[in-house]
Amino acid sequence: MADPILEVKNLHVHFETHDGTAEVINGIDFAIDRGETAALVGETGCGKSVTVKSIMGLLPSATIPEGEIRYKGEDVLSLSDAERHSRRGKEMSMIMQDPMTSLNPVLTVGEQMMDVLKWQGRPRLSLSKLVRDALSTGAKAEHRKRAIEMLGEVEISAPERVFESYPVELSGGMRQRVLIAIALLSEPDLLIADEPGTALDVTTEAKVLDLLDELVEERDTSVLYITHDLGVAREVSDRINVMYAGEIVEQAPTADLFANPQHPYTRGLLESIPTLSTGIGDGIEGHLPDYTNPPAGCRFADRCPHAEPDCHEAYPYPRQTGPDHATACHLFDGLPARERHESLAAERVDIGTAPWLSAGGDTHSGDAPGDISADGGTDQ
Amino acid sequence: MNDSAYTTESTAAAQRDRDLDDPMVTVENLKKHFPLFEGIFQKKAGEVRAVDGVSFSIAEGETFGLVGESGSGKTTTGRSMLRLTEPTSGRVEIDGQNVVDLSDGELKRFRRNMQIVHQDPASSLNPRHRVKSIIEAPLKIHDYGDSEARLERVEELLDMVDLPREFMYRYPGQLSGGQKQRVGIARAVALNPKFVVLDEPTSALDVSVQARIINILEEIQDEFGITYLFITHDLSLLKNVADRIGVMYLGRLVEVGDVDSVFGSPQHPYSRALLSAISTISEEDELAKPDRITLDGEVPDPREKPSGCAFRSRCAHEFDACAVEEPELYDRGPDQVSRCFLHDDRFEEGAEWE
Repeated sequence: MADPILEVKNLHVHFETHDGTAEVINGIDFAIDRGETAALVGETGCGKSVTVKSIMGLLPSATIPEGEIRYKGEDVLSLSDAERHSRRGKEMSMIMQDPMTSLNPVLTVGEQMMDVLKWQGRPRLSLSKLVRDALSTGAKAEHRKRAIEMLGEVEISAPERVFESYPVELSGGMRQRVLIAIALLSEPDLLIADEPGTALDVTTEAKVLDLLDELVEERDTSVLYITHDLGVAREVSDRINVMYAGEIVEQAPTADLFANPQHPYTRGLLESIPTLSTGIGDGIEGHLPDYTNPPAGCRFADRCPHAEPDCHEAYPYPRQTGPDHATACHLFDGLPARERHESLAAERVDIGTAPWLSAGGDTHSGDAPGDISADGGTDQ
Repeated sequence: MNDSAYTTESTAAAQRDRDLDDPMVTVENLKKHFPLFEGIFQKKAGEVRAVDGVSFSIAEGETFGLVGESGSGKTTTGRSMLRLTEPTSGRVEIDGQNVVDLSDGELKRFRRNMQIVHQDPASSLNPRHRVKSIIEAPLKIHDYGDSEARLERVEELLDMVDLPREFMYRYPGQLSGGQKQRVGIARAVALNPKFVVLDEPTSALDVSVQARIINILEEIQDEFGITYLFITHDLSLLKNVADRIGVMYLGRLVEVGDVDSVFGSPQHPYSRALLSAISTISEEDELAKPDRITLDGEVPDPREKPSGCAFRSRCAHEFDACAVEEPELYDRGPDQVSRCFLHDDRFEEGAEWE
């Protein structure tokens, strides 16, 4: 992490609800290098979208009691609204999840694209600027040309026609392309993609992902990719952060995570995914903890097949479990991945080592953690 | 491609042949056309042939998977089979009874044999009814015992889908997505149906929850020998749940076969493209699927299907004959058929197509 474009440090995000304060994000840390694609993976309600919306500054109702979000070294949380606005869209932009509802149905695609170019980096238009824009047809024509060019780049076959179309006239795949075009219009350095393929058919999704990959490669854009699908994350990302209940439970380079998944949640998730060759696992029992009354210790302990009483008490700080691999689980020994947890490391929590590791030393094993594998019994 | 992993066991195939001689469900040339109206006088201006001559059969206790992209007609097929939407024509035989011929009264009585689990558990349960009355509804309609017997049955069903019995007194709003879908399943199997349509039962759920639901569905099938029609767009899921599958494209089945054959050596260009688009989590799976095939364009407007083969507008192998007439289903294995002219000896284009 020599020169990260985005650094999130010890981020906490709270929401006030009728039932008390919901501690939705509980101290997460991650970074994205320039030109890198990082994935944030997790299931419904784990806080992926809250995380990225806090980065974009799109959560007026949330409070951030603690934490830093550094974009190019500058703490964006200390910036004024106007300053954040000026970075949104220009420096960092976002592709929203649902192509059906993220476009304004009463404006044409062209109008929505022109808006981006017109407002880009400006909190408001001054009157003189407005008048100047209205008088000079030059700027407008240029914007139009640029927008149509961009539509061509996302491989829309008739860009002029799409430019004049309303969103309802386009298919889901087309709308998603338009959203990508809008997000890339201002040549952002950081692109946040919130499940851009989820609402699409598989063949369309595959095409959109390939296209996005190509475009960010060309521009050397850094990407934060949000998805619930580990298969998609494997295809698109360089590193993966696995989130559970508002915490990052495991982070590792993509290849390493799949070769050597450590956290019981990551393993449970991997086993639940239907595959072509090995079959479907048992899934994970139980459900997310209540955010207004989160467990003091490990937030996954209630659902974890390896949990011991200590897990419910002691907070599992992320530990350095390998070069560039951090896991927040008491099953693993290692130095704290973050300095702020050094005091916690003094109190050792010993619940043994991961059973799948002691069974045969085979870290690559895809067996169910709770299962006794064929060679599990013959441990020398 | 790694064929060896998918070799069909000949004994299994033979067993299946016997079962298919006397199938639980047979669909013959099923059609569902939706008329289109236009103008102020609502003049009929054509039709959308959502399901356009679909035929397949399912052996007792088997799971038949129907896969396709949105708009392919897979859900409409499932719904017209149960007459939740009236089919335009065709035959649907369930346990020896042609469902299409049944009068309304007969149909109502017959419904105990055929049920459906809907896609979205949040909108398929009445939010104002407690779980008990939701599961009890089919029991009441079909005069299942007195209230005590029904209560016992509801408890039994909750056990079956792995929900605590206290959940009986909850409202759907108090349940998570996975729990709601379990209620949906309990309701569907309440009357011991012979045939259940599962319309994307897990597509609204997280994978860790999906795995649990699939396991529950399989347990129920093993215990009661229910025949399933499993509708989904997720091929890797089908690989795990289905015995035989049918691939649909614009209202037509383009490939049908046992699951190992279709995944091991997909014959239709569309099946190959679909398989190649699966995202995988291991090298092994990566090798087990075809190399990425990118399809041109998008699914055509169903009002204006291409002439001949409906897939030709997106097919990389299109040639003259494709536009003229629609290919029939060609035998491509002991239990595998594919609708493509590449399999026809009359045309040399298919020569290099393995």
